[in-house]
Parts: sequence; C-alpha cells; structure tokens
Amino acid sequence: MFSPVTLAGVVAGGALGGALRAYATRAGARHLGAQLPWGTLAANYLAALALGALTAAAALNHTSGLLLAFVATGALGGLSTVSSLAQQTLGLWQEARQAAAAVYLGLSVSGGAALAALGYWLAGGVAG
Amino acid sequence: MSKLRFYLAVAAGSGLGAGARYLVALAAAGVVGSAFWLPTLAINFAGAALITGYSTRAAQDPDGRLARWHGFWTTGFCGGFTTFSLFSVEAVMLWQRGQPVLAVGYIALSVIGWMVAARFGQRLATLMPGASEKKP
Repeated sequence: MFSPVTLAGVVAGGALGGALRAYATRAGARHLGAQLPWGTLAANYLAALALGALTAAAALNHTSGLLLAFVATGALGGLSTVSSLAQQTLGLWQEARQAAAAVYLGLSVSGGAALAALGYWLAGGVAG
Repeated sequence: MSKLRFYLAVAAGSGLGAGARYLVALAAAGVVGSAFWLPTLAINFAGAALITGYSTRAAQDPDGRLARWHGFWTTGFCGGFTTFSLFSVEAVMLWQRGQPVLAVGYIALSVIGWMVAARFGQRLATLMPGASEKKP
C-alpha cells in the first residue's frame, strides 16, 4: 500500500546513501588507487552485509516499517549500486583490462552474496 | 563543479532514484507473485543501460547540459535507482527457501544482463541522431 511518509523515508535514505557512496568512490580512488573501483566495492559489500542483517531482524519483527523504508530501501539501496558496477566493469574491459574486469565483477557478486548471508545469519535469521 | 555541489546533486539524484525504485517495486508487487526478485532485475537492467547511455552522450559534449547534470543522473539517480544490496539478499533468500538452482540462475541472469544492458546503453547512445562515435 502506498504511503507518502514511507516514500519520503525512502527518498531521504536514498539521498544519504548516495552521498556516502560518492564519498566512498572518491576516497577509494584517492587512498587505494585505480587498480579496481575499491570505493564502490566497499559500499556494495557494506550494504549487502547490513541489508542481510536487517532482513533477518525484520523477519523477527525487530524493526518498524518506517525504519526499514529509510535504512533498508533508502540508505542501503542508495549506498549500493549496480549501474556503476556494470559501467566500471565495462570500462575495465574496454581498456583491455579484461582480467581486472572479471575479478571486479566476480569479487563483487560472490562477496556480496556471502556478506548478505553472513549478515542474515549474524542477526539471527534461520536457515531452511 | 564544486565538491559541495557535486555531493548535493548526487544526493538529490540518489534520493529520487531510490524513490522511483520504491514506486516501481510497489506497483509490481501485486503482479509478480512468487518472482519477488523480478522488479529488482528489471530495475538493475534499466539503470545499467541508462548510466552508460547517459555517460556516453555527456562525454560527447563536455561543456553541454548533459555533462553539467552528469553527477545528478549517473552517480545520483542511476546509483540510487539500482540496488546491489537487495540483489544479494534476494539471491540468499532464494537459496535459503530451498531454491538453490533459482538462486544461482538469478545471479547468472543478473550479471549477464547487467553487462548486456551496459553495452546496449553505450551502443544506443552512439547510434542516436547527433551522436559521434567518440567513446566516454
């Protein structure tokens, strides 16, 4: 069911998450170099871990609807990105850095799934 | 563009993108049934095509309007619209519900689709009228 308050929570969280991601992208490039897009990787990892934990907490009714809208749908959705991941991978490939492109995409997806599962498990999510 | 303006543009775009994602997911919720991951798949495909398409066009005219709005639409809107965290959690949920084949299939379809969409957006931007073949 549509709720303007929920939408506002998602937009506010999305703005915060996006700004954090932009900061991580810049900081990663400055401090860790341009070998791989480290900032985006870190943002995606952190968001996957946190959303896994929040999903388990929500299933156990430990969260409110508005908190989920702001943090899960908004901030963590905004912190993580598929568009930049795809663009960066394509860019690496087209710079004739195919190995780096494959490593970046593989690290992102396998690490993201592993961290989401870890977060879910840590927050008390039940397997099966 | 100053640093502050860049971050404000990204935040505004990302908030708008997240809101759009919420509305798409809400509209799709009653339609997709047990394929709860389908809206995320479609959203991520669209965002991957839009970011490369926009960046390619913007790079053709570095002083133009598209270049000025680059942070808002790419890092901002596309970044906030697409979601890697929900994709990862959905794959884990499929696995955890006893559908490991579907979980792996969802991951494979996503990864291939993201890359096809990104290439498609780039290609489309160079084929559109008024576009030059210059790469971003």
